[in-house]
Formats: sequence, structure tokens, C-alpha cells
Amino acid sequence: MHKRNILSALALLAFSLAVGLKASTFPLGDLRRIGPGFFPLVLASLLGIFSLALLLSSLGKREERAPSHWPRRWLGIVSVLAALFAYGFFLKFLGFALATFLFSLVLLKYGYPDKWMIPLGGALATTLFSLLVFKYWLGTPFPGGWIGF
Amino acid sequence: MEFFQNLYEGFSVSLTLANFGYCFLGVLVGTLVGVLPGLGPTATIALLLPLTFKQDPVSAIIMLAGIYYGAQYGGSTTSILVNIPGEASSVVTAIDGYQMARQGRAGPALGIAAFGSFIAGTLATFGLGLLAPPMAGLALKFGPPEYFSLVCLGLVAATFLTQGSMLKSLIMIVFGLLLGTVGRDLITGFPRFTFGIYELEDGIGFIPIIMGVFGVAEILINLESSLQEKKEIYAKRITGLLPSVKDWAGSIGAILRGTLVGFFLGTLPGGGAVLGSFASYTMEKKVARDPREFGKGAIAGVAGPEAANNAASQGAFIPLLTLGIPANAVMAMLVGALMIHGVQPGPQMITKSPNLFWGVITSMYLGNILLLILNLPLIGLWIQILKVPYRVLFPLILMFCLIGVYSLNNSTFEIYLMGGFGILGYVFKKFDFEPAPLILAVVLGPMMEDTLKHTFLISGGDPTVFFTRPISAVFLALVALLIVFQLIPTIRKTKTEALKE
Repeated sequence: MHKRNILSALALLAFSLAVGLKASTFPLGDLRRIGPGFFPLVLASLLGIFSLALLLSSLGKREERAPSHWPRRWLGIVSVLAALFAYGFFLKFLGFALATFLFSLVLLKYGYPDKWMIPLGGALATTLFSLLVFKYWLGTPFPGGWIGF
Repeated sequence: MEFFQNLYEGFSVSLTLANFGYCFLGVLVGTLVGVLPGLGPTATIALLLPLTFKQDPVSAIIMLAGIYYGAQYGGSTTSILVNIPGEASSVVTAIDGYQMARQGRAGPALGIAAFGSFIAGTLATFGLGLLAPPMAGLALKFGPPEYFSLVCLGLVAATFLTQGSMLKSLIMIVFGLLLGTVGRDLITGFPRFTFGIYELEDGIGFIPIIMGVFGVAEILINLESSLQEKKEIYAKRITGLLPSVKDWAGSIGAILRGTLVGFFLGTLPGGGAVLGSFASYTMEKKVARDPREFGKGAIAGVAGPEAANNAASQGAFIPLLTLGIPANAVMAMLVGALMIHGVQPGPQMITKSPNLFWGVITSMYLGNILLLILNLPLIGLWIQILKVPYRVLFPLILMFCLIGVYSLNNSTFEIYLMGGFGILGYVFKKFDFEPAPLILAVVLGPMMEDTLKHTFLISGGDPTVFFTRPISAVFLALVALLIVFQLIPTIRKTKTEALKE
């Protein structure tokens, strides 16, 4: 059995059902004047059919390669994602400069776990560069936060 | 002679100081992202798109186009010197290019890659200028039913030409089309799948999707391998960049064949540069007097694919500029860029905005000359950049992604969207789903729904118009043919083998 395919097919099937149910609450219209529900409903049904086909075709199949490529380095992935969402969450409060500095510092520290000078210097350089290019040259209105810039 | 008149007018646009500057900036950035593995033209263009909002549309498209074809040049450098493809389209270049570098022939390999790219790029740009106007003339006759069928054809063709399972590509397409339905319905204003989040009422922008799926997901995948690995660069000093007469004799045929194959495959939806370079390599192996040389440093194995990926990147502009239908994810972004600037991509572009059309085409001639200069005498600079380790690069890439999506609407919601699609893209990769068809579908989805609604409105609810209008019928017949082809086991097998090689 092709486990990964079956897993993804089942997830997609559930998703298509949920989308289809939601879409069926939209006005459907008639053929002359197609309503907002028609297109999503057709798409949800198609997605359901394709997922079902994927499920059925994977039942008898062997997996070509062993699923040994599950991530071993969870730390990197989790810290990048956490840093990314945290950046969005704290941007207004910290301000662009401070948020950018902390974000770069965390990620550079991940690459250089036993050094401090490279991450600190790199984060400072990234912050100055982004401030100059994006805030002052291109004039993107970033939030200043409590330190003001 | 109208052609030359048009070219003249085009050059008068592209040779202005500002546009020439943007062209240079575009090919420079393109070469840079081409050289750097792990950062492709798709993510880069998505990144820079918000910055072009304030530019004049001609300058914006000239610059973004330059990034796209510039990346094809840069990708070969990394393939040849480090045996890591800088771009997906340079995968095959690494086979013989790296062998040449190990034999001390890095110079000629880089030289022929750059000259081959230049010849192919210039010829393909000429072909683009020649073929686009008649194509657009034909497309002017298209109404909503033709466009609907054409979009169907484009999407199905994209699944046919991508690697991997067609079923999975179809799933990606439908998923992308569904993402396109989020937001208020265009005609009735009915909110769909917004869950009361007001940022979703305008729909999900394709930029956070692309940056998530291509930018963030790519980084997550790369972080799984060790960051401490060292790249071994084969060549301390590069000498003899100018290929000898013997090198030219061995590769000029390959360059010309690669140009033709690449250009043709580039115009097809889902084709693009990757397929072109693979097809050219296979072809050179077949026509070679001694196929055993391939894989051991055959110069034709570098020249052909490099010519093909450049010709393909130019050919991909044909469906965009004549039909308004993008052939690949990068072109899909250019559609978005044009629409943001208030230019409706499609057959009327040549007549309505000739400045844009001919300005962009002529800028490609200039861009190719600039790239030749950037990639030969300045090769040392790119080798230095290659030495920048990934653990320094990835925080920078992510930072620019964050700034890019935030500045779309000055809203942190876009950052969350990008993060979400990054996770989704990562999961898709883990389960062997190709993300490129999804992007095409996201961009084409609203157009598909719109043309469908209009068709039924005009025909009074009669679906047979799709089959009684001849052009639309031909498109739909091709759709059926592609699907049937895929179902016949022997063809499926040859296709898998052809794409594998």
C-alpha cells in the first residue's frame, strides 16, 4: 500500500467534502445566471472525484521509496515558522527595526549555534539595509512600534 | 517592413535611460538568483512585485522579464562549477558541465553556456516579435466560450507536461481553482469562504501563496539537510572563457537545435525552461556521433540545454502577450503584475499598448547583450557570491519575503497567509504534489469562472455553445485528447521515461 498517497487522498477527500458542504449553502443560481455557489460546488465535486481516484489507485500500489525522509531536523523548521508568525504578531508592538533585528538574529543563531559575533553583526547589517532600502528609499510605511522606527 | 518600424518604436522605449536601467537591474538580479541555489526566479519576482507598484508598467515588466531570463544564464554557472543546479532548468547542464570543469575545462563550459544562451535568447526574441502579432490577431476573435476552453486546455496541458502523476497535478489544479474562489463573488458580491475575516473578502492574493509555496516551503525543505556542508567549487581561476573553433564546431548545431526545441516547448502551457533543457539533452544524445561521450564532459550536452532553456523562457512570453494566458508560474505572476498596473493581458495588448509590447520585446535584445557581458567578464564576481553559505542566505531570503508580503497591503495578515501556505507547500512536497500547476490555477481561476458565467449569460443557459463554436470545440477536443493520452499505458510510460531522462 502506498501509505503517503492514501493519507493525502483521505485528507483531500475530507477537505473536498467540507468545501462542498460550505459551497452548497451559497446561492446556486440557474444555468442562465450562474450564482456564486455553482463554480465552487463543481470544483469541490471534482476534487472529491480525483481524491477518490487517487485513493483507489494507491490501494494496490507499493510505495517506491521508503518514507525515511521524514524530517530529522525539526528544530530548524519549527524555529523558522515560529519566528515567522512571531514577526507578524509582534511587528506593530516592536516596530519594524527591532522586529527585523530579532528575527534575523534568531535565524542566524540557528545557523551559527556556537558563535555570537556573526549573528549579531549580520542581524544589525540586515536591519540597517532593510531600513535604508525599504523604509527610506522605497517609502514603505512600516509600523514604528514603541521605539519609534 | 512594419516589423522593423515596430522594432524601432520598441527600442525608442527600451533605450530610454530609465528603462535601460531597469533592464540592467532585472538581468543583474536574475543572474544573482540564478547563481544562488535555493532562490528561484518565481520567488524573487513575487518578492519584487510589490516594489514595482509605483513604477511605470513598461519598466516594471521589463525588469521582471529580465529576472526571468537572466536566471537561466546564472543557473548554468552553479551547475558547471559546483554540480548543484542553480535553477531547475540547469539540472542537465550539471551532468556534462561539471565533468568539463573537473577536466579543467570550466572556462569553455561557462563560455559556451553563455554564448549558447545569447544566440538562443536573441533568436527566440526575434521569433517572439514575429509570431506574436499574427497570434494575437487570431485571438482577437475569441469570445468567452473560446477563452473558457482555452483556459481548460492550458490547465490540462500543464498537468500533462509536469513531472509526476497527472492525477496529483489535476488535484493541485482544482485546489488552486478553489483558492481562486475565496472572497466576494464578482457579480453578486456574495462572500465565499471568508469566515467573517474581512481581509479575505478581496480574495487570497497570489503573492502570499507563491511566496509561501515557493519561498518559505523551499527553505523548510532545505533546512532538513545540514547547514554545515561545504560547497566545493571546481576552479580556482577560470581561464579560456572563449570557446575554441573545435568547441564551436561541436556545439553550434546543438545550440540551434536547442533553440528550436526550447522555443516550441516554452510556448506550451506547463512547458517552460525545464522541459526544454531536458528535451534538448535527450535529442543531442540521439544525434551525437558518439553518445558515450555524454556524461563525461560533452560540450554539446552543455550548449544544447542552455540554449533550450533560454529560448524557452522567451517562448513562454507568447501565450502571455497574445492570449493573456500564462504558460508557467512566472508568467502567471506577470499577468498579476500587468493587471495591478491596469493593463489587461491579452490579444488587444499589441494594439492598445504597443509601447509596452514592443518595449518589452526589444528590451530582451538588450538584456541578452547585458547578460553576455555580466556572465563572461564578471564571472569571478559570481564565483565569490557562490561562496556565501546557505545559513547566511536563508535568513535574508525569509526577511525579504516578509517585507515583500507585508508591503502588499501593509497588513500582517499577509504574513500569516504566507506562513500558512509555506506549511502547506512543505506538506505538498512531502507528499509528492507539484506546486507549479496550483499557481497557474490560482491566477486563471477567476478568469475561468468569469468566462463560464458570461458564456451561459450570452447563450441563455445553453452549454452546447462550447462544442458548436469551432475554435472552442477544437480546444476542448485537445483537452479530451490529452486526458485520453494520459490514460493509455504505453504513452504514459514513454512520457515518464522522456521526462526522466
